[in-house]
Amino acid sequence: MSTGHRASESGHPRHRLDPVIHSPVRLSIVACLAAAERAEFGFVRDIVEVSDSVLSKQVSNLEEAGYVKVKKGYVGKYPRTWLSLTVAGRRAFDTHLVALAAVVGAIHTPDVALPADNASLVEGP
Amino acid sequence: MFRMREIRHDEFPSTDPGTAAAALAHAERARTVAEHAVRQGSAWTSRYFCAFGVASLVFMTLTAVGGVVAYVASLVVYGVIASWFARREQVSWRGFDRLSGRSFVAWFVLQGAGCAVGFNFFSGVAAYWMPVALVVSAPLFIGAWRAAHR
Repeated sequence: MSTGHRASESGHPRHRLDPVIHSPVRLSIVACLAAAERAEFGFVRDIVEVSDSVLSKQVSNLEEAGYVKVKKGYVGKYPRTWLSLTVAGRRAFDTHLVALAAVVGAIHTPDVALPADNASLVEGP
Repeated sequence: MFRMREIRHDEFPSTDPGTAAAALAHAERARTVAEHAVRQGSAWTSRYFCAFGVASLVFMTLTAVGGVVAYVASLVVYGVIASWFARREQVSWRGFDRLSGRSFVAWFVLQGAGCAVGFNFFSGVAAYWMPVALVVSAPLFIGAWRAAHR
């Protein structure tokens, strides 16, 4: 049995990383929404410190993935957009953080079998 | 203090442990910043519950004089104003909807019971309506307290 095969059987935590959330901007957006029931577009923009267009594009990606719910409405005459994290989005964020922690922990844990491409990163004797 | 603009907004290049550590640190910092901002931005929720509780207290007490029509009309007007006020706010903390739902359901049930007994047996008796107003408004004041101490 090859080392690569054993690694895939053990299920290295990097396989659980979510490529949608792995981008720093999207990670910041999801982290912001994770703390809130819902947040207005402008609030998230100011917290994440990105432009309207960047936020709009990244929110569309997250919405496509089913992680963010977008609700549009009006307050008086002014249009407002509210963002909230879906159940799937909250679960994905938690899973992603656990996977990141596991990847970080894997470098210090000799029991975890790393795949061949990451094996050189382990500090061995 | 940590600022989000200090983060490079390109993709994390790979999923090796070193990059994962940076991504994890980024996520933790982002969450801390977000939680702080959401806490500050959600200060209105406690005032919202408190104002609704005071309104309920006053309107319930006035029911002894004005009757149920005056009470319901006052609360509808206040409810519309309060909902409009809530929609203007930019953010609400996680769990606000659940606390809000529980508080208003409890308030509605207590109010229904209080009015049913009051209009049948204690119509116009202030000694009944004043303590009942306190009991009916209690879930909203508890909601205000919980929102302030979450």
